[in-house]
Amino acid sequence: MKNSLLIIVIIFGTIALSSCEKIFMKPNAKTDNISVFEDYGKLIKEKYAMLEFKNVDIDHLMDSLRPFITNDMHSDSLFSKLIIINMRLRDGHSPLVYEVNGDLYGYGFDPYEGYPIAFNDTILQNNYASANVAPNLKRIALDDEGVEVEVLYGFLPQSANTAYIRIPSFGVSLEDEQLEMIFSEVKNATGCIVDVRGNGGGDPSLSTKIASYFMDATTYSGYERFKTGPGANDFTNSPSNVVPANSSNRFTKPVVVLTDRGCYSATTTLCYNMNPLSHVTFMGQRTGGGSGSVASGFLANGWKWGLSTSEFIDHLGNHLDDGIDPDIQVLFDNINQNQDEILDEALLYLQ
Amino acid sequence: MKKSITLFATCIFIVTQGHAQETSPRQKHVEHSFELSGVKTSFQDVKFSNIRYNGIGAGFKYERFAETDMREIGMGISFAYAKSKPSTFESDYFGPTTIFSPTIFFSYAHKLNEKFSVGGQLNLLEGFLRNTSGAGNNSSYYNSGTHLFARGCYKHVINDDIALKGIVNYGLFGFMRESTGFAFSAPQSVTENGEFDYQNSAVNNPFGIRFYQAMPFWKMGNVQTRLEVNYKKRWTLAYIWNFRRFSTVKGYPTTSGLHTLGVKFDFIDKTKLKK
Repeated sequence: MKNSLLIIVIIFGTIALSSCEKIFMKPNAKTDNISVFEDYGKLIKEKYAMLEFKNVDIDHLMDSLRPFITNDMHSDSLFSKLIIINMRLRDGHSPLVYEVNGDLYGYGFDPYEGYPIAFNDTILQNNYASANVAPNLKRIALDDEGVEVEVLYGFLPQSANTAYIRIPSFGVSLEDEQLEMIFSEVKNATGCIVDVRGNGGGDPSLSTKIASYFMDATTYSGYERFKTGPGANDFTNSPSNVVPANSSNRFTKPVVVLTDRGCYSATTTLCYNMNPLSHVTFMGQRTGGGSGSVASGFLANGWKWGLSTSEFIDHLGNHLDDGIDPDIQVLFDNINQNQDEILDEALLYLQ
Repeated sequence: MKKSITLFATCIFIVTQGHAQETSPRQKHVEHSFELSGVKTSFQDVKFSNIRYNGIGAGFKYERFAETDMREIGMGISFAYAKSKPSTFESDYFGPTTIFSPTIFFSYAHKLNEKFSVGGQLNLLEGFLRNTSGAGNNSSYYNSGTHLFARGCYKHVINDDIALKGIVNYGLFGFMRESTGFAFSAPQSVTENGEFDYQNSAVNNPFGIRFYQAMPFWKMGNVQTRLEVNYKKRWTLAYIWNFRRFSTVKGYPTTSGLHTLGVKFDFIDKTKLKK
């Protein structure tokens, strides 16, 4: 009798424990329209790091939209209301996306909007960089999430003394040995062009590593201001002191970095880390920005959000999320298919 | 921090000293076992969402367990693998998650009498890794570290063939790191202390001890329970519940539960009499 009682206690104890941790969890997220709307507003209020810089009063914005949110409205209507909030952030790191049968739909800020084109890959390849035109230009083919991209390094036919490095993406795996190979190839040049136009970013550790090849001393490039709690003033600064690459192939002669509005995210990291260097000149068009680090997650209804949860302030105290103006602005003529005016200007500058 | 580390070191010292203080045992029972199990998981990281994730999977465990008249000593390794989904929406692209949880453990318990024993368990390496589809920078989540538990064990023999056993491990101290902070995929201590640095690989390395945090029992609920029915000494049906709840940001806890129902087989089961 005593043994049977014990077994019964154990069995019921086991069943009771089987969902026990849920007692300690916060209530599950709700999927109705009003809850999704409120959750998205709360996320932005608590996590988005640049409300002040972007001049967004999130409470006021939510209050103005709240009367239009009902639980029986169609999900498309709800999405369009959330996008109104999202558009105010003007931030390519803060998209809102939903998925239908494997296809993605959504909204994300377009940094090119309102700016002139400053890069055309066809013009570059046909006149400067293809294997036929530039036999002294070496190539590393890399995979960027299923898309093949080519890192170019060496010398263009237009100049035997000025080196050219083109990095179309930082979303690639570029090993230390490959970086050494690149900088070993260009180290005897009198100047170097680093072309990152159209580079939408990727891994900021890689772009920082590349920037470190252009330094001969530890360089303070500013600080990253991270959101560390839900309060409006919950920020902590992480200073950025970039240590030079441990390599004999560092390049500290004149450098021109070519930029356009397509320079975003990790490319902004490269730019702010090279900006304090006196031998580096930026040329082309204003960069796209995207200086913050990104967090992502899902709303209860399955929509994916992204938010910048930090911002970068450069060594001069500038906010960088709307981009960096080049030292020398050069206009690009996209109609003239025989010339890249920005690249030509850089070659001339370094001669 | 220093106080916590001293407390942790003292606890480890007491546990290991327990091994040395044994008086001459008269009988030593040694078993080597493996356990195959089904696993049910729950997870919620309020820092990023209140969405609960639930899933199922499988587990494996190997253990060497030695028992004398005075003490019980165990050591082993376990793995759990599961697939989970968000509880509030269905998508093949967003949300499906794989979970991997390895543990290397040592346990010691001193026998108070035939039924009760008390002691400790040290999970030298314990990891909880999640990989969530479509979550961008937050796709990979982990918490990893070392955990010290107080251990209580109750054993009840029903007859020659059947015995029941219940074990409770209550977490006293953890030395760990969590991959996510309040708003970014870096440990909270990294961003809070202003130490984020793209050139410091320890920021993203689960074994980067520099950014480990002390988690004493008043900061983290960490409980492991185990209920066993042993049949003819070789076969055991076991139910295990691992529960953990902690906050690196006040009011934004991470909670996880791992339920395991397993069958254990003792492939070596020896008893020696000693003088």
